[in-house]
Amino acid sequence: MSSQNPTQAYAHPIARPRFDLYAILMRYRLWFFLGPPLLVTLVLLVVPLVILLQYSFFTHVPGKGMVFVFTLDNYVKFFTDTYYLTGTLITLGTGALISVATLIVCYPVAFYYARSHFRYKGLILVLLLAPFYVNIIVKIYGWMIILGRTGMVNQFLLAFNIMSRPYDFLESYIGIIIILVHVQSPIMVLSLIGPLQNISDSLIHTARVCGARDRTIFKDVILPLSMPGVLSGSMLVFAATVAAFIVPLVVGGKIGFQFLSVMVYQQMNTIQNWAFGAAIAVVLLALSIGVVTLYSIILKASKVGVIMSEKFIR
Amino acid sequence: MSFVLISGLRKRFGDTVAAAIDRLEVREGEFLSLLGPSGCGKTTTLRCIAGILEPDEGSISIRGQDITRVPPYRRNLGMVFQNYALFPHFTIFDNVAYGLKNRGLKGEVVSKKVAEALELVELPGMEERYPHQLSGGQQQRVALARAIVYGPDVLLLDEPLSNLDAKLRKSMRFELKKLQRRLNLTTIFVTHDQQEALTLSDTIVVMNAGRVEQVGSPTEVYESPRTLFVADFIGSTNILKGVARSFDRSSNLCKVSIGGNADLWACSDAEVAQQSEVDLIVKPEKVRVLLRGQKASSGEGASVIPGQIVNAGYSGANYSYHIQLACGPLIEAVGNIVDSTGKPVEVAPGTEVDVEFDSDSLRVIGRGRQ
Repeated sequence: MSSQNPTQAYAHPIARPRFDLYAILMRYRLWFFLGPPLLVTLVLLVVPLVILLQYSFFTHVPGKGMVFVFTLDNYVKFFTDTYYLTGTLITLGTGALISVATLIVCYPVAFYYARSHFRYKGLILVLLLAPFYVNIIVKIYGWMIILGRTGMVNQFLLAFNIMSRPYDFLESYIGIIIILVHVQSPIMVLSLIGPLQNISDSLIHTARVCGARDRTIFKDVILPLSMPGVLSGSMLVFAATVAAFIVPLVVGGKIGFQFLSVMVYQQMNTIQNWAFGAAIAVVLLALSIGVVTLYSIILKASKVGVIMSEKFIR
Repeated sequence: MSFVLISGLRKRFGDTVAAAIDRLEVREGEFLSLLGPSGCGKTTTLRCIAGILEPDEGSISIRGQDITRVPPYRRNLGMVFQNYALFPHFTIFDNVAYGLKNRGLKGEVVSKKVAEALELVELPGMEERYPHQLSGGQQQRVALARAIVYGPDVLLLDEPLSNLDAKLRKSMRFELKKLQRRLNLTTIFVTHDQQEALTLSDTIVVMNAGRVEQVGSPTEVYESPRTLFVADFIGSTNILKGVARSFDRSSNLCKVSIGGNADLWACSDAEVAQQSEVDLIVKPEKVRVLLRGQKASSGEGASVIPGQIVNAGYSGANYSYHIQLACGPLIEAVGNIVDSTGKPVEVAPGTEVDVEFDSDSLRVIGRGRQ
């Protein structure tokens, strides 16, 4: 308590420089921190999307390519042709199917991971995330060894006379489902682990002492409290599946070409109809955002919304 | 007949024995506390009773029925945890009704019982709220209501007051006790707070390193601790090292030398061998401090030893003194030094005093007993 003048503490023999970088950084820190990611997003995402949106309203002239004349024909063509509408249904339906299938496959895994006290849990997580480390093409070729015409599964089915001819999984919808579930599972597991781990043991103990059996505890306590993970996981998987392109292209066979993402690729690369390709891309994006938004609005309005509200974080 | 009986209970975690209780009985309607520092096995014991943990050995019975291997959902117990453990996604009604619904009750009966239970914990009309809309104290009452609503045989409380602030904790203590009396609920209460255990319990079980150190009424464990650990853990206690000089069988009094030529008469439960090393314990508030030259207040069985005030701390109702005894040890005394007219006086460090010990407040604890 010796200094009478508190400002004296700042007096220093070396004068502060007129150009103080730190002061400037602190003053504009919002822009300093947010600027780079914003710039990247703007240049690499927003600008291309705006261009894409613009393309979708241009006219395609066969032989000449894209002509900069405004038209709604691309959208009219998309929404009046049953081929494209069927494709839309297949794409969205597959998104929903993969979300549900991945959830069913991943929930037990995430549950046991989150609730176990196994010492080498970290190692298990590394293994669970393995699909992340491998390039998608490598993953597909890996599955070819298992599911291909001469693959393990077919040899097994033939050896036990379950089938008379090998089934070509890799030219079928089943192949798409199997591989997409595998590809998306890390996202789902990661989304589920957090909420499952946050369920306090004492809640489960309480339920048990209150007279609940394991099945009841799962239904009353664990499942409802893990809903935030279920919802975020399925939304992420849905969005990623709807946008998936390589898997349906490579393993889908005929049905693969019915996926909107593959159609975009076909229009732009094979048919060279950039305008129509752009229109499909815009529709796909809009549908994906629309479905996810609608899903979360409906869920937040329902009883599950209580769990997801912010106040729940204790 | 004992209502709850634990015998030969052993629970190990790896190599460490977390709880080893040879025999513990709880009477019907009794409020029993398991008291001890963290890691003493009190929570482990409670969890074994609740069925959350399975004991490695031994048995637990309630109403004479062995429940050691009975799954928790069929034990009919009520439990309250330190962190309330309310189901965050349930309303207060659903929380309290949970045990009833698991017992197959429905409709009117449930809502009536829930309302009664909330009435009992003085939270009527809270049914539609969610736990996060309630304060900590309110949440703990809801947890209590949830545990008692279905009429459990035994109420298990795992440090239920520890998360509350000091003032609330005190008022909750009395409410808890009132509720327990009113329902005549056999209650097992786990705590590390000796004050809580002393005010609430009919019986206190002091635990240390997985074992029971002493079982007794609050006055017994406070005033006649049987081991050094109990003496040290409950209230602050002066421990004086000494050597037994003689033992008088008719009065159970032992003459102990604590260094120099200071001899003290102290009571002992068991016979003490001559020349054996012993510990003497005395509570600070049982130590009387007199100004030098003042006449000792009581003659019979009292020993007077000269000393010097080292420090005097004022704590409102009385003083806490640190006194250096002439024969060596430093002791703590709580009370007031009074002048000849009986008025409290302030004393400065360095003041010469006489310290008086009554033989009933000094207890001998043999070294061997630890």
